[in-house]
Amino acid sequence: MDNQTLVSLRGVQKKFGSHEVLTDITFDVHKGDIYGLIGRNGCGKTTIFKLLLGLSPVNGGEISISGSTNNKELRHARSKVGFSITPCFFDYMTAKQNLKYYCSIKGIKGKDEIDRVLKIVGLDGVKTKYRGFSLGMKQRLGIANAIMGNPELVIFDEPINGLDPQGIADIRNLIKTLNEQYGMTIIISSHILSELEHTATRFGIVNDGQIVAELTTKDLIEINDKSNIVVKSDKAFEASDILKANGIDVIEVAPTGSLEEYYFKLVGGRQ
Amino acid sequence: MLRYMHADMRRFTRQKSRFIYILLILLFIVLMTFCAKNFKWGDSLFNTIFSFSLGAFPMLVGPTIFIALFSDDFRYKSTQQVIGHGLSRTKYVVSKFIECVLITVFYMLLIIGTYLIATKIFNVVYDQSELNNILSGALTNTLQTIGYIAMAMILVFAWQNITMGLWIYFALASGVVSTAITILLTMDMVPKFLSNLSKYLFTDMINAFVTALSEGHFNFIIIPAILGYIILPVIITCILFKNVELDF
Repeated sequence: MDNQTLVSLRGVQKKFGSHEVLTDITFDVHKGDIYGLIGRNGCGKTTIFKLLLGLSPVNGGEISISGSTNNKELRHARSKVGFSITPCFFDYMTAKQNLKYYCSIKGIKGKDEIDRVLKIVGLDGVKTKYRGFSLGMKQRLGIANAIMGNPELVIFDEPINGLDPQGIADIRNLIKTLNEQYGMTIIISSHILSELEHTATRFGIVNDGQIVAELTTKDLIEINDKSNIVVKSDKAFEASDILKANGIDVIEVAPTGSLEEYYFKLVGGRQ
Repeated sequence: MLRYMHADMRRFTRQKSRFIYILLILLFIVLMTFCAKNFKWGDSLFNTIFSFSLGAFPMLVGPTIFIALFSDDFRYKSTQQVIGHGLSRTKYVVSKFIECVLITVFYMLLIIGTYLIATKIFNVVYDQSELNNILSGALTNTLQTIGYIAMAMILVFAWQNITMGLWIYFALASGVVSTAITILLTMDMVPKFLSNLSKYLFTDMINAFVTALSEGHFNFIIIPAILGYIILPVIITCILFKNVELDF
């Protein structure tokens, strides 16, 4: 494991009874990555996270975080990992009180840190108790808890599940900000491929209990089609004719912009 | 571990309902003391009633401690958060047990403190032997509550099920389990040597220890056995909890 590798899984196996969920999970996450774990529902993405966090016993293979070589070191390394897997907090407490609880457990001192992370996720000034939170607010609080104390590594499991388009866009921007501005390495899972495509810089595809492929954003472009270009023009059909006249295949002339773009144009907000 | 215990105890104090419940019990003690003096029950009778009433501690106060300690952790998945942040499972179980001891002792001290203050205010008199009875009752019931919670913890952690643990706690605290074992051991078909085992039951051993203590003897031999009843379940819990799947 080189010093650029933050997380390393080698041949990790997991069984539930006789059912083998993970047969051979091997991948590395490097410092500065936004590593997207892709796979259909139930393929074992959350199980991988649970194994990383020590919430589920490993049946085989090796897990290392920040160069840890034994269980004691791994536990110590985990104390420096932030995570949000199905956010769940004490519903009789406010966001601040909940974060204060986890702040003390993590040994992070200072009210300022709570205010800072609440501001980052846009929950500053929210006085409502957790039981009154919307799904989006819950996800944000989960992220706030995960990034408290500026951890080097943050794990997000399906962070956009159940969110509206504005919420999805906000979380997407937030994750990019955490990576670019705060230098956090992020492992994120989703079964919504188009979403991870927007967020992650490296991808691991989970299928049949294994990582069947690993690729970067650059690889993705190369694999899909090396000669594929998108031309945006007010005179799309004329442009198409010019290309055809020059011997270039035009597969499709389609309106640009996604439904998402149209939505944001209509109702406002950030994409 | 200390950080976790500190944070968890602070969270415990945030739940007003728990304090309202114990406050009602304390108010009831004050009211009873007031009635004892003003309706001429007789100081001695009141002291005896109070001493006996302490026997209700494991059933009345124990469950609230049990629920406060464990139910929120399962409901709000804080166990997963804490272990995910690197606290070892063994330290987590031990922290929970120490919290249980601290809260149980604190509640019992509140009750005894309220009794002592109320008797002073309303001028209810007690002699040394009555006070000894009350203090030994307090010790017996504190030890029993701690022991029962420790025993029920095994199920709570191994099956991740608070209801199951609570039922076992009720069965232990209400005396159903010890009565059933005593009956079983005294049955004709049970060999004679086994019937002698009833004196080694948890409640019997505590009673023997406290009785000896109130008579001025300190039974050193019995202490490890009582501690065994309390510590062994914690060790079993730690072992069983090591391989439990923690789901979100």
